[in-house]
Amino acid sequence: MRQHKLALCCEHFLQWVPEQTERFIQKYKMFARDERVLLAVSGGKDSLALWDILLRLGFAADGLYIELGIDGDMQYGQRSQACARKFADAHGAHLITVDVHRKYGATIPELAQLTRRGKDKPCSVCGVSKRYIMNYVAREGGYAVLLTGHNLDDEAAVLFQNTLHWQTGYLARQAPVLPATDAGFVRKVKPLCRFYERETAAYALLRGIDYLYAECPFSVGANTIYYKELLGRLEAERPGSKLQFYLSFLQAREDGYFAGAKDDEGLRSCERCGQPTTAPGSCAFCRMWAAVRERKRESRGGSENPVVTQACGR
Amino acid sequence: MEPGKDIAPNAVFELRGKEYRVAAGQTVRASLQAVDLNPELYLCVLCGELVTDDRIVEAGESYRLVAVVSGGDN
Repeated sequence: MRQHKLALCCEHFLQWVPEQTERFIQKYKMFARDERVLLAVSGGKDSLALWDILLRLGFAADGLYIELGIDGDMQYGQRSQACARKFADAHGAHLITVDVHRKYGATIPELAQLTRRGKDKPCSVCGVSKRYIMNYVAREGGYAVLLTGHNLDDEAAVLFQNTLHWQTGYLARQAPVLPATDAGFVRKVKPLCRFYERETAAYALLRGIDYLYAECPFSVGANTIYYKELLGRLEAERPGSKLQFYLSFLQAREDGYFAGAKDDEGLRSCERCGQPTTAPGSCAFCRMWAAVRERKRESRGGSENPVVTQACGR
Repeated sequence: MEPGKDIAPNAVFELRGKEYRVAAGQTVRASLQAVDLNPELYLCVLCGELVTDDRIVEAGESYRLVAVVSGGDN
């Protein structure tokens, strides 16, 4: 680990990662031992590594897997779910599964085709859907906190993108911890935010975690992957650059250089589902599904798909 | 060094079904850089064991590369 000027053997690396994770959980006041935590699990290296770490640290974390209906001629969804299920079964952990098609009436690729938001950008509708479902399940399940497996490379790539475009609103909201809001957002935390992607992958490999190596077929050409590769070039020449970039940002944020709106400012309840939104009327998720209903109604000559009609009902 | 170019003595790095032949006697890190692969973006596995990038590559070895980059635009 050139950024830390640290070389560890397998045994000590596998001790170091959970120790550091616990340190970050405490440093950023992410959650306490007695709080119910829900971890979003994709079947990839980061989320399964984090689940392993949490269980080893004694946190009784439940997992949430969202079946998106993405196949990509490689059974991507089935294989992802199998990895998540296998891990849960092997560790006696509780895994909640939400099947987007079964619950809402269309897969993510179908949703992308049927909405303006998703046209040529399935990642956009996928992101809206995942964020909605994660918050919904966490809230309904009475979890105090929602965890994701975002690593430092994820954070640095998003930071780079938001800085390039001076997205000050997004910069103000990028943090290891996003507090819960009165309007209904559950607290969100990223315990792996200071680990390089290489470290989480190494941890998963060394622990023998069976994760899905294949990437989502829709991620080909994604901006964040491009930025990660750019930052990777910088890191190869200047070890520690990514870590320094992210930590300096967090310090600047703490010093008040990115004063954003207060956490609850402008938030209201969606008139359809009750989840928090900044939009007047319906939230982005409900508007998206309303558009899908409309498109399906048009294509069927007036008869609605009853499953899609219930998409936003609670 | 071009992928697939035959040199001896050499070792092989395999990534997603593609083979890269590299000269033995240099580090894993230097070997990856020699075939235009960024060492920051891959992990190296030899005989099922993860190896560090300061390992000296020996002739006849066959490494598997694991890409570590993941993500999408959501």
